[in-house]
This record gives sequence, C-alpha cells and structure tokens, in this order.
Amino acid sequence: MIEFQALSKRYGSFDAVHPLTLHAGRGEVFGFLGPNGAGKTTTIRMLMGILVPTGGRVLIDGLDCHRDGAAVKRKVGYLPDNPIFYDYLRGREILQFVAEMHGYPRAEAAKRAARLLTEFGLDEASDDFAVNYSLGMKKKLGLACALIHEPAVLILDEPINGLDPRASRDVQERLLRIAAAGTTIFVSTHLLDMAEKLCSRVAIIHRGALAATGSLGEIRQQLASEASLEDIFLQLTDEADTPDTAA
Amino acid sequence: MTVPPSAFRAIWLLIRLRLQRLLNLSCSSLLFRRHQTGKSRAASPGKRRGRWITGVLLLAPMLFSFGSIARNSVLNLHCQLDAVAACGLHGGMDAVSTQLMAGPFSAALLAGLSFQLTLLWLVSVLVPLGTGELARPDWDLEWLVTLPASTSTVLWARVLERSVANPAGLLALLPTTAMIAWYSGYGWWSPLPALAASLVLLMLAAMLRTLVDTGLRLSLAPSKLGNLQAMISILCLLPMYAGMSFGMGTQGFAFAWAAAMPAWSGWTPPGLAVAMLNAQAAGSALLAAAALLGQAALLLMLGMAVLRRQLRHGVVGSGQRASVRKASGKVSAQAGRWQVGSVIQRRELTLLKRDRNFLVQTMLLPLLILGGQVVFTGRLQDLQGLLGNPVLLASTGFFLGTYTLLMSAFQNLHKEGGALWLLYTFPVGVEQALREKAQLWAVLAMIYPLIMFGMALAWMPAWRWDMAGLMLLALAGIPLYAVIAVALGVFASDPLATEAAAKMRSTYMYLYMLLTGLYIAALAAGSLVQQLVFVVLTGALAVALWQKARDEVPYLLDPAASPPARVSAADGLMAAMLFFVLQVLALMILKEKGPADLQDSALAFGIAGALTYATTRLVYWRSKTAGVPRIRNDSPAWRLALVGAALAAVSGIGYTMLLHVYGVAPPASPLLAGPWSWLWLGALAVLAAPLFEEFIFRGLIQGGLRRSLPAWPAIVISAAIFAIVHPPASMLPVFVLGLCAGWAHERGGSLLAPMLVHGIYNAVVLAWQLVIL
Repeated sequence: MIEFQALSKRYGSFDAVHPLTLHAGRGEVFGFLGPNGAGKTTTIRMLMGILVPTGGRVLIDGLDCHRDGAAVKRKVGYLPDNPIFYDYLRGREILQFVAEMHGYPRAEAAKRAARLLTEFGLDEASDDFAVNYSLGMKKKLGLACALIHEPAVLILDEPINGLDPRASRDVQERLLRIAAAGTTIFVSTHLLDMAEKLCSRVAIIHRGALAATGSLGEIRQQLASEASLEDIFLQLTDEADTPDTAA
Repeated sequence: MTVPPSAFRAIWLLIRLRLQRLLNLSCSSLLFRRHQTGKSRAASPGKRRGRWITGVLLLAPMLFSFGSIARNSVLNLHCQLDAVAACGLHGGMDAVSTQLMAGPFSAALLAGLSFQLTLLWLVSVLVPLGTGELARPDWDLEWLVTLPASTSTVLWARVLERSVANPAGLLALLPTTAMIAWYSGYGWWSPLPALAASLVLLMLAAMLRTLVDTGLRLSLAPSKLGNLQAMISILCLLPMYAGMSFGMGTQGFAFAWAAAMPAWSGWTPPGLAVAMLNAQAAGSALLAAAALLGQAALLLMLGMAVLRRQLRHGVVGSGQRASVRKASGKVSAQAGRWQVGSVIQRRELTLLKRDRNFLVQTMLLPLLILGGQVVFTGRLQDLQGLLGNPVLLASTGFFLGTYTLLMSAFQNLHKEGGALWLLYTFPVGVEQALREKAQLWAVLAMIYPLIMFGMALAWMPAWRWDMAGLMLLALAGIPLYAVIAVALGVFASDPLATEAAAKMRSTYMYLYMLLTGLYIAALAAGSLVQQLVFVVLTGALAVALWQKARDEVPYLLDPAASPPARVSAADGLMAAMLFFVLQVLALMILKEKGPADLQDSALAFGIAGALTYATTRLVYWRSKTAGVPRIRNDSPAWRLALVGAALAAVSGIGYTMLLHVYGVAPPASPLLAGPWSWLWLGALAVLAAPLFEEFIFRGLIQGGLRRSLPAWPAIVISAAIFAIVHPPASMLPVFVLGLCAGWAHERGGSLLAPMLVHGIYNAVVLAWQLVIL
C-alpha cells in the first residue's frame, strides 16, 4: 500500500533522510520510530507532498506522492505533529470545510462533522474558535479532519502526543478498529509502549537512516536478544553507535 | 544563591531589552533578507555599519516631511487664530515668522497649539495600541511577572519602557514641539527642550496605553481583542488627520475647533508643555516645567494605583474560552442554506466577516485614506472636479480596487499562516484554491470602483464615451491585477519564516505597487493604441506570473528544494524585452551620425535577434531546462506552412489594398531608395525575422502559455503580443499572421512550420509592394 523506493531528502549539505526503502501492506499498522530529529517528520511530509524528495520516490497505492499529489490525497488522511488551524473558524466549521474540500455535499459534510465531533468528545467545544483549543483538543480535531473522508491510508505524526490517558486509549482502540477494517496506518511516534501495543511492524530510524525494520519478533531475532522494545530502541539509537549498522 | 537586581537595575534591564527589540525589528525590516536554506544558518556579524546608512536614508526624508508639516501647522495656526493680514500676501510668510519669533505667542495661539499637541498625544497613545500587540495571543506581562522583581517594579518598568520605546509617538510629538521651541527663540537648541517636553507627554501616553491594554486583556477574549485593535487602528486616523490638517492648508474645519479651545486647556499637560516651551523668562519656564512635572507625577501615581487595582486578582488573561462560547446554537442552524461560490470562497467570506482587522484593512482602509484626504484638508469641492477629469476618476477607481487587492489577494498565502498545511491535504490542489481566491477578490475589489463609476455616470451632465471607455479599461485591469497580486503574493510570502517581519518580503509589495502605477500610467496615456498595448502586456504578464507561481506552489513548504527549470511564458516575455532593448542599443551604436537607414535597422534587428537567440539557448542549455522549443520534428511542415502562409498573405494583401482604396496608405518609405535596400529588406524579412521572432513568440511565449491555457487562448494572446510590438499601421495584418503561424505551430509541434509561414508571408507582401510601386 505504501512503498518507499530509495526515498531521500537533503537540506543543503545535511542528509535529513538517507535513501529509505520500506513497504507497508494493506491493513497494517506500521510504526515509524526514532529519536527527536531522526527524520520522521521529514519523511512523513514527503509522503504528503509538503516536502519534495531529493531522490527516489514514495508510492501510495501505486501513485507517486509528489507527481500525482492530488490523486494520492483522495485516499490519504493526515495528522501533523502540531496541527495549526485558522483563526476565527470554529471546530465544527473547520471539520465541515475539510469534508467539503473532499467533495461531500454540504449537508453530508455537516452530518459527518457532527458525528466525528461527538465521537471525539469535542461536542461542547465545537462552537469555539479552534485557535483557543488546548493541544489535546487540537490533536483530536486534526484526527477528525484526517478521518472524515474515510481514507484507505492514514498518516499520523505523533497522534497521541498531548492527549490525556483516556483519550489516548480511545484513539488507540479506534486505530486498531479501522486497521482491522482494512485501513493502512503509518504512524510515527517515540512512545514505545504505544508502538508495542499498536503496530504490527515497525521501522526504527536513526540520523535519517534505517536502523531496523520488521515485526518486533523479527527485530529481536535479528539482534539475537530478548530485550523489550525500549531496550532495543536505546541500543539501536545509541549516539556512540554509528548509523552504518543497518544502512 | 544569586541576588535579584535592584528595582532601578531591573527597570533599566527591561527598558534595554525593549530598545534592543526595537533596534532588531527596525534593522531586520530595513535589510534585504536572503532565503536561508538547510544548515547554513550561521549568523553573519560585522555587517552592522551598513544598516545605519539605509536607516538614515529612510529616516531623513520622513523627518524632513514631518518637520515641514509641523512648521506649516504652527504658522497656519498663527495666521488663522491671530488673524494675521500678512499671511495672505505672496511671499509674506518670512515676515510672519520673524514677527512670530519676536514676542510671546498670543493666548489664542497657545490654546490652539495645545489643542494640536493634544491631538498628537492621542496619536501617540492610539498608534501603538492599534498596531498589533493587542491582537497577539500571548501577553508578555504574563511572562514579565515571573521575573524576580516586585510587581510594582515590573509595572513601572513597563510604563517607562513604553515611554521610551514609542517611535510612532516620538515621531508625532517631537517635530511639533521642536517647531514650537524654534519659534519661541531656542534656535538650534530647540530639539533639547522639545525632547524633554515630548518625553513627559510620552510617559503619560504610555500610562494610558498600559491601562487600556491591561483592562482589555483582562476582560476580553483574544479574537475580540483582534477586532478591537482594528477599530483602534481606524480611530487613530482621526486625530492623525486632524492634527496633520493644520499643516496641509488653512481650510480644514479643525481650525474652528482650535479657535474654540477654552482657557483652562492651558493647564492640561499639553498646554503646560506649550507654555514651558514658549516661556520668555527662565523663571516662568521653570514654573511651567514644575507644574508639568508635578501634574505628570500625580497622573502617573494615579494611573499606577488603577493598574494595581486592575491586577489585584493576578495577571490572567480573561475569557480564553468561556466568552467565545456564547454564540453556540445559532451556528449549526445555518448549515444547508443557500450557498455562494466554492468551498474555499465561502470560507474566505466567513473569515472576512469575523476578522474585523482583515475587513477593515481590505474594505475600509482604502475608503478612509481617500475620504480623510478629502475631508480634513477641506477639499470637498474637489469631488466635483473629478467629474470633469475622466483620467483622474478612472485611476482613482482603479487605485481603490488594487489597494483592496494588495491587502487581500496579495496577502492570501500569508493569511493562511500556520494552517497552510491543510490545503496540502486536499485532493484539489493548492493552485485551485489560489485561483478561487483570485476570482473572489477580483469580484470584491470591483465593488468600490463600480459604485464610484456608477455615481459618476449618474451625476454626469452628459454622456461621455471617453469617460465610459476609461472606466471599462480600469475595471478590466482589476481581475488582471487580482491574478498578478495572488501570483506575486506566492513569491512574497515565506510560510516557513518564524519572525513576523520575514513572513512577507516587501520587495514584491513594491513591485506590485510599481505595476499598479504602470497601469495607471496607461490609463493616462491618452491614445487607444497605447492603452491596448498595455492591456495586452498586462494580461500576458498576469498569465506568465501565474504560471511561475503555480510551478512554485508544490515547493512552498520545502526549505531546500526549488522547482526544476521549464520553459514558461515569463521567459518568452523576458526574451521579447531583451530583443527590443538590444535592438534599440544596436541601432544607437550603428547610426552614430544622421538618421538610421534601412541597412542599419536591418543589421540592428539581425544582431539583436541573434544575441537574444544565443543567450536564451545558452541559458536553457546551462540550466538543463525542459521543454525548449525545437525547430524540426518528424512531422512534415510544408503543407501546414503553405496553408498558414496563404491565409496570412491573403489577409495581408487584402489589408494593404483596402488601405490603398481608402487612400490612407503610408507614403513609400524614403529609405527604400537605394539599390541594395531591397536586398537588405529581403534578407531581414525572409530569413532573420522568421527565425528569431518565431522562436520568441511562438516557441517561448505561445509554448509557455500553452502549459496553462487551452490552444486558442494561447495562440490569440501570443499573436496579440506579436502584433503590439509592431508599428500601429501593421498591427492588424501582423495579428492575423500571428494567428496563422500560431495555428501552424500548434498543429505541427515544431518551429519549422511557423517560420515558413512567416517567411513566405513576408516575401509575398514585399513582392506585392514592389509590384504596386
């Protein structure tokens, strides 16, 4: 469903993402792990056509994310790490706007917006201006925006950052439910317990290069260790360690 | 353990911080900023010295014009309030000013000047309130109170810091106080007592401003604060215009207010400041100064007490969420009603309706600028004059429209702000959103010009075709400038910039204003042909800029990548420009003595064409540009060329025959006398012209336009540009030739067919003229 083909990104003389080749299948929850500044957000922004790849390409359902951007976005829902919304628009209006931009007629868009607001517990705040929302509420609204057109692929950048424990549990359960229904979820995070619970496969990147990939069991096998994901993560992203181990 | 600083040191530190910020702000806005990429973010110190020069260069004319307004206001007030007879005389002003300096000011003048100082003091309160700080979501006082200093230290520091760091206030007060001091006989020492008086007044202004903004912050939600700030920014135009009207003329009605000032106004702080500056003896000056300082101290103490009371429950901005929620219930009922425009356009209209700041800037400000100019300078009767001056009327309407566009369409990416990412998640593409916004703003920007022109037509004594034509021309310009504004706005905005000042590159704003000025010049050009030329060029420019902007859009949020080089209509326009500039230059060098003959112009044409051709090819080759037009391809060109050439030649010969029939044919050029002339002309017309002109007009311009337009519009526009660079008499047949060559290019896909069309056409027309003559 998502196919990275030697995707790379370079800022001036700095390699933010080394050529990255990965594959995430249909209905899979794919965890994209790495420390701060490893290149997670850069990779995700290339998926969304916000950044332009320096080399290689990434395909979603066979379509190039840069060249066929508009067609890709029909199938994709996206939540950025720090969603910023328009001033002077209410949560309900933003959601309805997003639905209309995805081509739903107005009445249908309003219905979908109302349903998602209820599901995310934003009912009470739905008539406030979204700039006044707290970080958690903004994340929920962003997630609702990503889900409103029932996309086949969800791309989430730190989805439960800033959510309270209950909301975080709700979101995780929801993600598992829609993955079971066939949606592919590509989720970046540095919250390892969430990755452990949620993801069928993960990729760990460090300084822009792939350090390990596979299901948790496979990675343990590769490293011949029985350690927890946290220990594996710390071992792979050790600053003293050069990133060449897997690149 | 560290020891917290003393109160004075804390105050000094805070003031220094604020001045540092002011310096950084003015430096960064004056300096041209390079687009920084990637890791190369090293600061570049050691360039400080150059900045002062730019600053001084900008500041000097500003101070001069403010100074001259201040000088005129003092003299005008003196003339009007003291009824001085000499003012009416031509060149009597010198005598008036020496007479004014000779003795103390009259009581009426003192009252009038204190009125003006009061107005300017209001400006120094309202301008800082109206320019932004209120609308910002975070309140710096919340941070300041966390510093290790007592609340009263922080509050005093705030008031003092705002007295000193108030450039707008200083710019309003200092010129006038300095002029009062000058006319009171201080000579070149005038700035010193003027600065002292201004600082005292600025302290009071800072106090009032702090009281108002603290009170508002404590009681209003952020979105309401933004709207209120918009109101204040409008409100401050009132004292500004009234205060400046004294210096602009002697008709404004503010003079009547100045004359009606009561005697007690002399005891207000501005009155005392005037009295202090105009005191004739040191004793009375000291007395007035002491009164002023005492009063200021009292008022400051009083203000501080109120401020403490305001903050008795702590520094917590009110109504973060609660006060916005009141409108619930009504909102959901609106869904499903009638709809105007696209989704994007409806969202834009909602934002416009709610964001008063935006509404004021786009729709109200142009009216106020125009209205303020007319009302406060007492030139109401000039409106009548507009009816008699079609050019002024049309350009005023055009100005209103394009000013609205500058504040809206030009800003549209900037307005998206941090929420720009949302546009990148939709399946419709950002270009579509930009296009819809350009359409919306083109319509909104037409409102004022339409009202204005409608009223003018209604009031006009008799219908005038020339006026209606100019109005149409002005209206036609507005949609073109909506496109230009959106396109330039794409280049101007830097969505990745973190500082507010860097989010908008002002160079492009100046470019937009320059282009607006060009169109206004076209409105004033007078000849229909010139106006037509301008409209065609503006249209082509709009499409070309749009194309460049569209190429740029996918790369907007990427700090490192930029679009790959592709042939665009803008390249064609630039090449055409280069072609003609080079031609003029070559001709200037060639002719040296006497008028140019045909040989010279042919040679100039050939040199310019070859240079342009070579340069363009070289640039394309170096930048590995995609889509460079090819001269030959596999498809046979002859049949297309013959059909095209036949059509063009028939129309060309028909046109010359018509001209002959009606007797308007230009006389045979004396340049064609020499025996070699025909050979030169032939080589020029049949070989050089087709090669160079077809490369530029069909290859680059039509080919570039074709990327964003359907076939026929691209052919028509490039043929129109092709026509307008020819002499007026031959524009029509050349336009038809352009159409035929464009058609051949579109069908054949290479440049060979249009080159043949062009060559055959020129040969046939030349031969025909030879036969006739």
